[in-house]
Amino acid sequence: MPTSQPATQSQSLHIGFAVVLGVALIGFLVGTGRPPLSTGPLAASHGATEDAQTHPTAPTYRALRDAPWRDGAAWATDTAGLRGPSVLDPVDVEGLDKLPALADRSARRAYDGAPPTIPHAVRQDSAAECLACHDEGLRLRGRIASPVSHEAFTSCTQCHVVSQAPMPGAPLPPDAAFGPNGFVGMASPAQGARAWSIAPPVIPHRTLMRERCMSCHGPNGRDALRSSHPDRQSCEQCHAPAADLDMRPGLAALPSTPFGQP
Amino acid sequence: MSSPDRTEDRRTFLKAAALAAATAVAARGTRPAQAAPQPPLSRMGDGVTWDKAPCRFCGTGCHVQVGTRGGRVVAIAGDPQAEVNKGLLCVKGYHVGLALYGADRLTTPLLRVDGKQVPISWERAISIMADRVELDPAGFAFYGSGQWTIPEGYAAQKFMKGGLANNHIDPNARLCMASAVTGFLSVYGVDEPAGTYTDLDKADVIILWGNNPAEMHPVLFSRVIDRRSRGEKVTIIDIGTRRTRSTAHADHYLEFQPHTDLAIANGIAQQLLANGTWDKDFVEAHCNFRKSGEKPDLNGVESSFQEYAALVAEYTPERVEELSGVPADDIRMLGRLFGRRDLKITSLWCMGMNQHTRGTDINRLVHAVHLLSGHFGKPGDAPTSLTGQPSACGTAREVGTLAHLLPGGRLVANDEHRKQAEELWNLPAGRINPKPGAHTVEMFSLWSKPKADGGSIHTIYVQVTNPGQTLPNRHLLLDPGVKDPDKFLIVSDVYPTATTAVADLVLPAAMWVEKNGMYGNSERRTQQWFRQVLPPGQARDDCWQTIALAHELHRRGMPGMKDKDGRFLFEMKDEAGRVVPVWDWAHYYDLNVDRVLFEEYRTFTRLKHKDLAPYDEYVRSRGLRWPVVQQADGTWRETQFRFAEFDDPYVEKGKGFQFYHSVTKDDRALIWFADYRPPPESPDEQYPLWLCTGRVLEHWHSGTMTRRVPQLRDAMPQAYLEMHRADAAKLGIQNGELVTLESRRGSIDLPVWLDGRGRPPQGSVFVPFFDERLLVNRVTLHEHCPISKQPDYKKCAVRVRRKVV
Repeated sequence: MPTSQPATQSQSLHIGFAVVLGVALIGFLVGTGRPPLSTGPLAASHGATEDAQTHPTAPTYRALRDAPWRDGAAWATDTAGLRGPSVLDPVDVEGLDKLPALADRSARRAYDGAPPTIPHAVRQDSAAECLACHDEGLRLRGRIASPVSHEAFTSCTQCHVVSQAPMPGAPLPPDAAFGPNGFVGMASPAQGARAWSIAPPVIPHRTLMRERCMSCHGPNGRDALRSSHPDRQSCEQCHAPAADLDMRPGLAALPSTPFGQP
Repeated sequence: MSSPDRTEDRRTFLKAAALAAATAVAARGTRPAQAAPQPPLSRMGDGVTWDKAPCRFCGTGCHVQVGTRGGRVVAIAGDPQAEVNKGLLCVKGYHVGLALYGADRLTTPLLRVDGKQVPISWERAISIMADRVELDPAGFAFYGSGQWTIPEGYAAQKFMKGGLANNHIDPNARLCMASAVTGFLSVYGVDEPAGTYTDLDKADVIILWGNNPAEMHPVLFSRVIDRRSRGEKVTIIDIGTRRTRSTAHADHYLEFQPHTDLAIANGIAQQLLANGTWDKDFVEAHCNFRKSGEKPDLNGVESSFQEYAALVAEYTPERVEELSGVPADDIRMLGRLFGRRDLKITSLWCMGMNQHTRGTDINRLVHAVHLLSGHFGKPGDAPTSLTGQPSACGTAREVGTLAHLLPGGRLVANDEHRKQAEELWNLPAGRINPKPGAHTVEMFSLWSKPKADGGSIHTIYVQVTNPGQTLPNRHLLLDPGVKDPDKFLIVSDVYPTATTAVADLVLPAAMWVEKNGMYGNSERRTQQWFRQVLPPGQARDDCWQTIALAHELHRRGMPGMKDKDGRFLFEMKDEAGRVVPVWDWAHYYDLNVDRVLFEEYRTFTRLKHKDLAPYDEYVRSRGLRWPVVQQADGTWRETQFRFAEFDDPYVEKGKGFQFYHSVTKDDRALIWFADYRPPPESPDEQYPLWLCTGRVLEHWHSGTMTRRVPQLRDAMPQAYLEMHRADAAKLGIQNGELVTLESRRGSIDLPVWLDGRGRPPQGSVFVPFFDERLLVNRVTLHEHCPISKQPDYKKCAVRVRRKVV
């Protein structure tokens, strides 16, 4: 019978589909289930049993999602935070303490004005990858990717190096003989002076390499350092920079020490 | 917002101080290398004094602003007034101030007694040094550096050649740029580039000849690539043996077999002639031809255009491809670029061409390509060599602290030059020895060999450098295990190094802004700075050490320490005409010794038209590029483009170009031919891989300073071996695994880093040399260029195997 042939075919096709779907569903459920050695995601392989050491278990996708990655532990998918704050959002900086924010800022700098080190792994050869987050800046789950404070140079790793080397393998024992470096860097200024209580404060730091005020004071800056009015774009209209801090040419701001007597 | 009155400021300040102390404690817990941060200031730089200085590190010559407070460096900033760096620095420069404050600074002289280094007084140290000189003045050698300040190098030079009548003085610059020197000398008759960094702003095409400026001269590299951000087009062509950070920004990457750069340069010349695109007018008016003779030397033999054309004709793109591995089409592309008059082309090179057993020849060939194509002497058209050390040009090359040179480009072997030096130094006629001294590799060979076997050098005095780490084939030249007990090593340095570990006498030195100084960078720019903080403990200036040793010998009656009128060689008088005892440390800064020495040295610089301005002009400026010539109105004018009429005051009007120190004495430069020949050692069955050594961004040379800076050390804590994945797979090597790297000379164990900082092609590996725990110079070859005597650290044959634990 010429008509029964296609019917049988379509029937077996349906059965086939059902089987495939069923297997896929089971596979999906198994895949999203709890990882067998769970607890500390990637750390699981440093783990408990001898067998796990010789044959480390590959981490599950969930484990990878939750894995701490150096300082970027808090980084994870959070689409809600992707829009980022706008300069038009109201800002309430009243009562915020600047000092912890400054201490946090100085943790990655040898002195105020030093290029900060990079707290996460980087690829080394493209500014585009840095600027993906650091051009406009980014806030994600309480972490900030600061916008660059200066005009965009294209060789980021010329000045900014990673704070932890990405080399594989066991490191050599550290150079204990070197001891701690005794350098004590210049601290950050806390608050620009005001002529009277509600006068706009002057800029207490140099603006060299910090010409983009919004880097620290904009919507993606640390809360306590933010401006209450980031929508106003002409900062130096009200906040005076200091010619001597900026060492403008012709100011004789660099008195040379005669005969090198410090 | 807190109310801004004074009391509130004070309260904030105290709170800040407490907070800073708390974070310091916390920071100590996690990162012991970090010192306590200071409390926030009410205004940046309160109480901070700022002064200028050139950066301590590479030959770029950036100016930094140094912030000091309470006798210590507390901050660094790029100097916006400096033309070299325009306010920008690199990560080493931003952290240069930390290099002063490593915990293990040397602070007292140390003498080896029964195998241990014990503290002694400076008086005793100087006396022991004088004893060693008196033992046999002809067997005393001075090994210095391209980090010597100009006055330090000048004092050492005068002490050795003018005082001891001994030419055994050579700098580490021999390991660094000697081939560039012989290149410039044999092409133009006078050393150092004709152009300046201005070429980098004007060039349409930048060619990197075995050069990685993104890491080695970062400020110059970003000066080029940042032009692209401003909408300018600049084409970068990387001719290299390994992919680097510079390659990432290059438009073309031409990978060649090590050593075959000579074939590539000849291939470009062949294309220019074959296409008829060489610059006939320029060549006919300004060039002669020359080729290497049977025995390689500085002068070569005369040649002609016809002979040159015939010799170069062999280097067809196909033959060059066969030799170098660079596709013939890419050689044609280079030929077309050089053939275009509407483009400006600047070539950059550094160690890739200089650390080469054919170093002088490859330098000559790159100059030849530029001269033949007329890409010379216009802004943006220049063959420019870069230097690795801050004063390789200023001190080693210009003061001439090499075994065969006298100050100002003079030669010890030249009767007239010796006579001039004797007159300028007021020495009796015939004082200066006419025989060139031992160059670096020879100096250490003569020192490491017993006297009975012809090892005629008994003592080497090392200042500002670390040969224990940087000499090639270290086992042969400076190995503590084979040191002859009769030989003596004196080392002045700021930290313990691989060299101080071998030393019999260690002297603690002042560094950078702990002393007055002057440097000369890659673009002929002479720079000056003042002392801004005091050195730690008993550390003292290298220049003082030399003068104190000279005076001790003078006191003991050594005739060489007197000039022909019986005065001490380094006699210095104050404004009232009284002699200042500068050999006594307590009086060393009673006058500006740098100024006195520089003014004396300046008189040497006219012969080769490398005129320097008075010291005080450099105090006012951020460096000046020589020749610095006084104008009719009394001001001093620097020169950007040498030999070009539009800028160089020494070119006669109407000549256009004038090579006024021409080898052939006819104002013409020389276009050299040199053929490609295989290197002294190539990979074979036993040692199947090429080894290249070099530097990384974070560390400067042997790492003595930068490895003590936490930010730099954390980013690059140790040396490693770069290798291609396919080679690793073949050997069964995992990323991060410890391997043994060995050559016919020695071996080291170190970890492999696949796809790390750089990416060598299959058949080749790379190891940086900054890590004194992993001395790659146990493995390297000490073969050197027969003309420049510069060793080849860039290629030798090695094998790699998994370390059997």
